[in-house]
Amino acid sequence: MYTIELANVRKAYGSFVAVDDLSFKIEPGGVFGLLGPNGAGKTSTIRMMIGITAPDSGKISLFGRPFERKSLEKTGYLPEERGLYKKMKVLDHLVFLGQLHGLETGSARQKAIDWCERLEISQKMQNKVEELSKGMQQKVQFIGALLHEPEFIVMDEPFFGLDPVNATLLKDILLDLKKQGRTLLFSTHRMDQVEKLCDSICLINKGKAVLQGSLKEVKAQYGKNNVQIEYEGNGDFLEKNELVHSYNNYGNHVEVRLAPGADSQQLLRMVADRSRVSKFELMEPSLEEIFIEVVGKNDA
Amino acid sequence: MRNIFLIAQREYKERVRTRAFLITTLLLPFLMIGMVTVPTLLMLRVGGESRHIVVVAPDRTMGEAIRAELEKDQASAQEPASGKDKSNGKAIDKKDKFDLSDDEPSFGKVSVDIETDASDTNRAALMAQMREKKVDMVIWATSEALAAKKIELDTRVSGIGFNQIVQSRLNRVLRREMLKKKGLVDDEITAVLDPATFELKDATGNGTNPMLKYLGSLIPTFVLYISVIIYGATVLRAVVEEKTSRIMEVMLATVTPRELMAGKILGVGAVGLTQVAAWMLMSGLPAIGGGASMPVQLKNVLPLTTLLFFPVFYILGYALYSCMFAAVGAMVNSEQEAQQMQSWVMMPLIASAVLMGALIQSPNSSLAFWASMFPLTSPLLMFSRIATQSVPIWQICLSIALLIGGIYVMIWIAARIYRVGILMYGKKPTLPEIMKWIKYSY
Repeated sequence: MYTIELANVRKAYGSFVAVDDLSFKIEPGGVFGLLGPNGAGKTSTIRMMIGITAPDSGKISLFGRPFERKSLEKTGYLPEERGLYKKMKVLDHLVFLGQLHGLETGSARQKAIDWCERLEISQKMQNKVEELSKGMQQKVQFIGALLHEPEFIVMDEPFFGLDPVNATLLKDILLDLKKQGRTLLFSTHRMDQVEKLCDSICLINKGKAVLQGSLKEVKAQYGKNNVQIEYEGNGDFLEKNELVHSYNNYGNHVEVRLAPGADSQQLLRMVADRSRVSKFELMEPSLEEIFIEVVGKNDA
Repeated sequence: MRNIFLIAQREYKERVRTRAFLITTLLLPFLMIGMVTVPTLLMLRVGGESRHIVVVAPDRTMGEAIRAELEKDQASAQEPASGKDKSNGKAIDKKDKFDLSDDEPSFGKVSVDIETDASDTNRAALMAQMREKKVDMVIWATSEALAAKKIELDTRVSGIGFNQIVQSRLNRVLRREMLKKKGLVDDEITAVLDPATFELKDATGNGTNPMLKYLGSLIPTFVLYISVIIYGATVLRAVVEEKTSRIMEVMLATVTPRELMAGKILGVGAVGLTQVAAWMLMSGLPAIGGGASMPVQLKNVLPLTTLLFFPVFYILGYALYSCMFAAVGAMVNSEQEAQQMQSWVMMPLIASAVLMGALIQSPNSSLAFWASMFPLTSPLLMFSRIATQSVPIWQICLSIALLIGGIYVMIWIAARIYRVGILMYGKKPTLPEIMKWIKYSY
């Protein structure tokens, strides 16, 4: 049984096709990244998964069954556009959200209090939402999505607008949830952040899936053909070299993309001849590079 | 069902708890009483400052006669007026429709000077004094003016009441003088001028003041009108607030748009009912305090049918309009846009208020019938008809049935607009776009 399964899903708004023939499956207990640039169709896809909108065609199954609202009690959703009732007290608000997710008042209250303690906002529970700082409101929002201990957690751009401290706090909570065997899906256009967390990914562009699979597989497809070099001396070797496909100079180090079929050892010898090498490392390409390449290829 | 209840409950609690709710509930009745009575009081200038009147008369006798008539209040203010004096002014001054008492409206203090010089120089001098605010009114009762029965009144007083009373009192003096010239004696003149008194009774034979009864039907209609507008607009603002604060999507992850709309309308509606119930209780309180005779009077003014149909038409009217307000709220992106759009929804309500006057004037016209059947105007107009006249029961039933049908259609349309609109941000939709939303399957 998959936690969620999309089969040939399509959604159009007027003549604009937001999601086009999209299919993917998520295994229980993993972290899934739905990646893509702004306007790729991530939010449209997520909205269909949790029943805010319905697909024009295709099928969505949640917990192995065709979509039904009852399944939402086991789903937690953090939308990209965060929002709370500004005039409500934090605790009242959390209890209300818990109740809507099917919790009894008493247990919703207890869980809200526990979470507030964990996220260090328990002294603000009796304050109105509008009196809280942005970061604290974000925490309240997270608690709202997690309060009912959902099996499947969907977060749209979860790290957006978080300072490093809170981002780390959230990352730890997400890893903790993963350890508990819950399924996580999040969407982002900041791939560097997701790379550290995801087990598998789906890259979408213009509503279509362009690349998907486990992170390891995806990266393996693109092989280790990147080299990071730290050196002192002449950097001429980078220019007009048939071994170098392209490079990025970061000042104290340079990242080189090898030309297809080029031997990294040959490059090492070449660099060592001309300058002092302090570091020479073969690397996997970053998701961002893969993405740019795939999208670039598709657009061309 | 549970979700609708939870949403309604939140909406209700959050609104009833606010200070604004408490203040409007407590103060609006006083404000309304004030709105009716203060202008009346101001117009009649009860206990206002003394006014200086100059009478320009052909001779002193005439002048004294006018002075006596104008200053007769001053005497009666100090000592109880004689019966004759009182009844004299009664019917004539009864023109003012806000006067609910049987007494002649109080005239305020006046001091009257008599002059016999009608020359242009004196006129100029008097006008100068008036500009300096030393004189409030000059009555040009010259011999020519009296002969032509056309008297010029120069006045600084803008209150209609004051000027009207002066005019009617002058008329009384003139009539008395004319009758005197015809050779009648004082007793005869008084007998001629003494107007008949009238006692107004309604069909049940109750001696309730018809004015009170009129207000008794007008005030509930007014409350209905105000409440539907206030709470309809509250629904609209609540929807706009959810859109602008972006909580909509959080909510939609757990509830359907239909549940959200229904919960919102029910919750806000319950707040409105609470407020109206509080007002009814407050209007009942003085009746309990005023002893046993008051409730009987109140029953005459506010008959049981009015009290019975008020909640019916309030709930139905609110249901109809709040759906429309909710749909408009879903269409717009900001408070400002909402302000512009809500006037469209209010139009039929305002039209109903305008039509109400015509309906009370001619209750049996076909306009009255159709306007009280058409769902957009019927909540207000059928209720106002029930409050002012006896409407055939089949008409009431038909009106309610049509209204419920209208509500059903409106809920269907509003829910569809709402469903799409709440997730739309950006530009305001055009009419064709809204039509498309209504046709969307989902």
